[in-house]
Amino acid sequence: MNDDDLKRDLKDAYSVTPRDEEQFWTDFKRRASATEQPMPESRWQQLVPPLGMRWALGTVTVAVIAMFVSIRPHFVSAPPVVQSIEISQPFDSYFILEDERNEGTVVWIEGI
Amino acid sequence: MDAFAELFEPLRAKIYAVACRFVGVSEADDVVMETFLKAWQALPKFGGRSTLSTWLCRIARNQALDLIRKRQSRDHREARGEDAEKAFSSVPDVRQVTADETMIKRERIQAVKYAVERISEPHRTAILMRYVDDMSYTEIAAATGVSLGTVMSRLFNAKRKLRQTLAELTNEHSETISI
Repeated sequence: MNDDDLKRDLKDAYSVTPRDEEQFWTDFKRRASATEQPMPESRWQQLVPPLGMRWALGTVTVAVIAMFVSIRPHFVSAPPVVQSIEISQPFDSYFILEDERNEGTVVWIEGI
Repeated sequence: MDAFAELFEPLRAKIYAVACRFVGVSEADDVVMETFLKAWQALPKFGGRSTLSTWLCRIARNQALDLIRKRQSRDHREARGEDAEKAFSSVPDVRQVTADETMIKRERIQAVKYAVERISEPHRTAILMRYVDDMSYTEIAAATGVSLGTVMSRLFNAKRKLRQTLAELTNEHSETISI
């Protein structure tokens, strides 16, 4: 028995037919008119992600900001480095002390 | 609503067939009605990620399963067994074999019915949806809630088992005649 024969015999044995089209849709319309069809979503609603996704996006955003803030001081508060010094008054000596712990620099001039 | 009816009417026979395979002929109409009502309500949210027929098959399956659950909660297990049996055994009566049809055809149909009733329910559903209801693999997958691979494997095994049973029947028949 090939596929076509099998298909034909199965159809002969098991085909089902739905009820009359007009009768069905009349019943359907009667029942559907009693139920409300939700309004289609507006363009704005389609663009706004659903609540669950909004929560997820919010959490990720907060995490990124927190990470940025925690990393940022390393960039902005690096201790200043004195590249050169110019003293307009006569002096004996000077030294520059970079205080990393307090993030400050002390310029000490002697004999002004 | 007329537009809805026009759009969905071509799919009604398919959804009716899906419903029959799950709940039997006696309750298939209820499942079809509930399916279309659900579709009517959910249509504004239909994203077009699948075809309409696949979407409907999925809804029909859920509606059929809901009905089966309700049935079970009413503790009509025995009746359900009878109805499920009817879904397969009484369906052929829809197409009554007329008197002028040949004996050979009648015997062949009886043999096919005998063979179909001997395969497992998931395999039977798959092969009837494919060969009788002309559903695509995707539609069968949506209607039965399994993957495409499972559908293909069920169809392959169902056909093999059917052929095997039919071959056995033919052999038995020819042996009987030769005796």
